[in-house]
Amino acid sequence: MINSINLIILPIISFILTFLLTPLIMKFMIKIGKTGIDIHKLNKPMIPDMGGLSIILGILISAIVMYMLNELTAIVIASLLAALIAGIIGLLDDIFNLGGILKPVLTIFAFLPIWLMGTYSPHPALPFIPGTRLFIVYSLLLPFSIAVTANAVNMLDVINGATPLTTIPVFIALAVSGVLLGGRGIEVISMVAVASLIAFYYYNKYPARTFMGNAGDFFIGGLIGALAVTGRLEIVGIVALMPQIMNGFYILSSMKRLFEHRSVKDKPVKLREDGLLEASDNPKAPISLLRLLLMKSPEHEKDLATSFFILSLVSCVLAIITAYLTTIRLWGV
Amino acid sequence: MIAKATGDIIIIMFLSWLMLIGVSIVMAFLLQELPKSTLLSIIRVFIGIVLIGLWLVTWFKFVSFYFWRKIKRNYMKRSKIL
Repeated sequence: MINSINLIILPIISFILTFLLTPLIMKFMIKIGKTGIDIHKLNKPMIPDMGGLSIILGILISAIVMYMLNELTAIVIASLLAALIAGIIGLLDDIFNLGGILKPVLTIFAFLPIWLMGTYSPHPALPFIPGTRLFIVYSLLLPFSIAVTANAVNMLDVINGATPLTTIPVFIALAVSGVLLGGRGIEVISMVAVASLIAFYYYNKYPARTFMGNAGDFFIGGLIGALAVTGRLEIVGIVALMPQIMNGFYILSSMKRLFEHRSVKDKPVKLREDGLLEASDNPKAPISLLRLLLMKSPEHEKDLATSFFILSLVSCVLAIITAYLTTIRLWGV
Repeated sequence: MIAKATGDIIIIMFLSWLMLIGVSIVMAFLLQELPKSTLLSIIRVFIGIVLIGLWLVTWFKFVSFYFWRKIKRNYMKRSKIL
């Protein structure tokens, strides 16, 4: 049963915390020299990095308030711990640059809290098959659940505002699907994440005043993967993350190896003299979602961010329909 | 304003979602029709993995083909004119 008051109060707390913490983190990052170049701008401005730490703090402090309000369940604790491990790996990558192979390998270990606390069910629901018996296959795939989502969210963070715009609808889809399927206990934390991302978007939208950083990307991606597993919404999570999965899948399929984006010489997108972005016609460059969006004509970064948001909205509508289809039985299965 | 190719990507997403639903229907049919022995359970999982693999390969090949056709039409032709 969802406590309606907590569903309103906790997201508000999360929003205020993230909104107030982000400028402080931005100032700190400028002070310690942790800035990055905004490569899609003509004047190449230096922007404070790792602003996503405010989202991690905002959500974790809200979780402490959830604990005081008796809203914190084992499912939410396991999901937050898994996301936190992913976030710490992202933070280490921000500081030490872990490389294109070590980073995804380390994120595999983020599933440990879910596994140790036993907050998963090896009977995932698929469309028309409400309860599958995939104990061995599920157990083999479980370690990759957090690694795939964390890295997929990180790989799509290529333009200003990309992560908030593409993950807010995913959390809403998880919350709505959870309610549709009888309340899986992930609705409140999903809305806390939505509120935090909306607050962060104010600073990350075009033209960005701060970057998310790998810590924020990995935490958000990890939280999505963890909530999908613990909330028994695996297939909903996969469909809702279709833009991120498409992006990661196309990049890896076209490059045929794991790699660090900084090491790619043939960039998929070029900045023109008029400030518009255009797709590279270099066959060696990876096929990314951003490059696909530019296949018809050069575009402005702001319009591309809006397109990302629309793609995410569409995939989330499909995810909610998929959630409904998991309740239907075909041939009595 | 949105990117002109947004509609194309939405269609690609919708087609791949329909393929996913198709794979689910085939798997639901197999679960119902095949007897529930250990060997046949392994065969079912194997068929499921092959179907998902085929789905991913078809998806990538289709998108890659479509992408290069559009790039040739919209970028390479314009470069020649310029």
